[in-house]
Amino acid sequence: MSFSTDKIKIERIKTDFLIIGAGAAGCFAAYEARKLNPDIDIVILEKAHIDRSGCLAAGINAINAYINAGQSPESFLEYVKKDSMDLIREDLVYSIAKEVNHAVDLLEEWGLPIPKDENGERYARGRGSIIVQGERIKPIIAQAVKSTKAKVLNRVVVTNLIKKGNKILGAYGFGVRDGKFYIVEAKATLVATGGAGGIYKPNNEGNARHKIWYSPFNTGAGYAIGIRAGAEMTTFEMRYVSMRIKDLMAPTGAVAQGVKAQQVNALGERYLEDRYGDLGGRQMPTSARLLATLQENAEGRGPCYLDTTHLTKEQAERLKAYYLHMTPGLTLYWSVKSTSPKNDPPEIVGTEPYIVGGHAQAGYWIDINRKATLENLYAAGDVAGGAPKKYVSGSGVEGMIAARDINSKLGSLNHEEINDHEIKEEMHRVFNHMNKESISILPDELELRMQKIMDDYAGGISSGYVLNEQKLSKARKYIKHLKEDSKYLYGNNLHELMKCHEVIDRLDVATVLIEHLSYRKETRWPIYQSRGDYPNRDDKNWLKFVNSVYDNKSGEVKIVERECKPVSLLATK
Amino acid sequence: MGILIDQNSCNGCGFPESETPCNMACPGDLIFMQSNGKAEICCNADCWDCCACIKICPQQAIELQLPFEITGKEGSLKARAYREKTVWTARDANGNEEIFETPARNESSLKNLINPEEFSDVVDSYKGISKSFTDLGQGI
Repeated sequence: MSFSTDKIKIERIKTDFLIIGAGAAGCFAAYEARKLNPDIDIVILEKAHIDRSGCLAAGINAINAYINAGQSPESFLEYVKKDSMDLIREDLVYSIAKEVNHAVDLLEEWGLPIPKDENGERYARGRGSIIVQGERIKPIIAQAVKSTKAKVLNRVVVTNLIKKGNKILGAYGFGVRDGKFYIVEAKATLVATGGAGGIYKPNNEGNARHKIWYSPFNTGAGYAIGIRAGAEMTTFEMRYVSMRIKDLMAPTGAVAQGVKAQQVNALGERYLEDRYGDLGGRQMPTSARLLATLQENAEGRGPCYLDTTHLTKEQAERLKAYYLHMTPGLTLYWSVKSTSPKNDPPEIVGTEPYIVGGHAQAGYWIDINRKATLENLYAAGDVAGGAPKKYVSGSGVEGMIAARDINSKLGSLNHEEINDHEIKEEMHRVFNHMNKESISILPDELELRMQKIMDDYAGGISSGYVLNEQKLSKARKYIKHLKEDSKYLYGNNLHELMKCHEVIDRLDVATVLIEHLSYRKETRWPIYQSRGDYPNRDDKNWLKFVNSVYDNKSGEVKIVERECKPVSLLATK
Repeated sequence: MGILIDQNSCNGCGFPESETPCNMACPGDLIFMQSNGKAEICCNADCWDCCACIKICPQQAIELQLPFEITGKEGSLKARAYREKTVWTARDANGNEEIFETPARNESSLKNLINPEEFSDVVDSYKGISKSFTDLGQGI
């Protein structure tokens, strides 16, 4: 092999506290750590630029985990539990619920505009949601981090955790702008990246392939580094599929909750109440509202809409502008067609499945302090498992909780020597994809193949999200082949090298996901996890967590069951 | 389509001596500098329509366009980020314009904590390296 890593410059950094990913969770962690400890050394690795990275790059128009007047942390917990079919980590969800308002207070203090009524109350959009004017939320959060003097390394792609025995010693990465190999040694490491999109075939194709709800740049790196290091992961099988506005895949909350638009079918019927009372009518869980919509389409009563025809002209214009805070493409979509939500009500469809811990609960198995199953390793936000519906504010809370624990233990944590041979091996694994072999596969090609396999055999859009054992065994076989082929991935520049690793990471996530989907032999979360061969919910046998540990040497996924422990908070209160 | 960078309006923002805002802002690492000193997007199909580059461009040389397969019509969205607000201009296929303003930020309690020069989110002081098309071909 002609390729040599000798030409690669190495940047070696030592720190107390390494944060991987400068999103809500990572930034709040840095802020909290600095608040508690003026001397702690903090390094943040960010794949893009902290000012406009990840899910929040475009902005947001609501914060969806919030305790409004009349609600309480207890009622929040009850709601999340009911919406997640009773299987959640109550301890984690409750700890988030107690602090989401504190996180929002901080955001407001940092400069986020949050409109208020004449009594000075923030506007509730739903029971657990408030309106914000958040186009600039990411630069605002980034500035809070800059005030901490944490060292932010932008444009560094993290490729693996550094592991010795059962301990995590930091992380490896490469600079997508400078081409350097980064070795960051840390006393404690917090994984705070986004979840994984782009595993399944998306709604749109060709030039529109990235008109997707979730950030297409969140490619599961945070999961993948933990999977390869052997950290225990939980509930990947609870995928997240959302009901979104067709074509632009924009969120529906501003329409459904913001202006109280009802779901109607092509005949103008309010089908949730009319036909799906058994699912709970309008009070049904989030996923059931989409299930009912798919059913209406299957029975020939589509398309379905969010009915905005009752809005006044002014309301419709306001709604149109409101999307500039989050999905500006949708505002343009209405403008291009010279129309508004009043005469062109948004059509609703389901997205492709995503693996996320912020909306659903796929992620690291963590304790109440957000410590993962490996020593000195923590997880918060989208990659932390067991606590669905935490969103932006809850992710921030998890970052702060992790930072507190890390700071309190810092005195007893040390750096440790890293094996030179392992460094060489990782450098080779990372940069080898710039070495053109006789056979080469481009990252886009492999991505399309992966998305097709997952769509066809692991419950994508084309199969109505339905899973069965026979199809899953095909998915398992083909993804395994594809993983073997991934050694031929070729990127002729650093941007393409990043894309190579993004596909490799998603293949590792897909590998674990398939085992989770196959293991749970019931249907707990319709749409998110619908088994054609086990169509019913089975609390007697399956009210428990399906966890996994991956063996990077053998490629085997070991499944572990964990008990679901209700923390009877309401009873003890 | 994702974005269109008007090659006549783009002045390169002093590249290669300084970091260019659009190149800095893109969350997908999609914007590159060409040998003529002007910015271009490497793969429009990868664009997420987040508008980070559009809002930050001092020349207002960038606009959002939707793929024809989605709208069947042309049109564009431009934006300019000011400190307290963002001003948007949406244009339909017939050239009719709609203008919107969105509030961006309030005064921050952090203002005494950090250097005011670091406080501009319109063009932040990122000291990284802008990537050029020549880098694209070279690999390592």
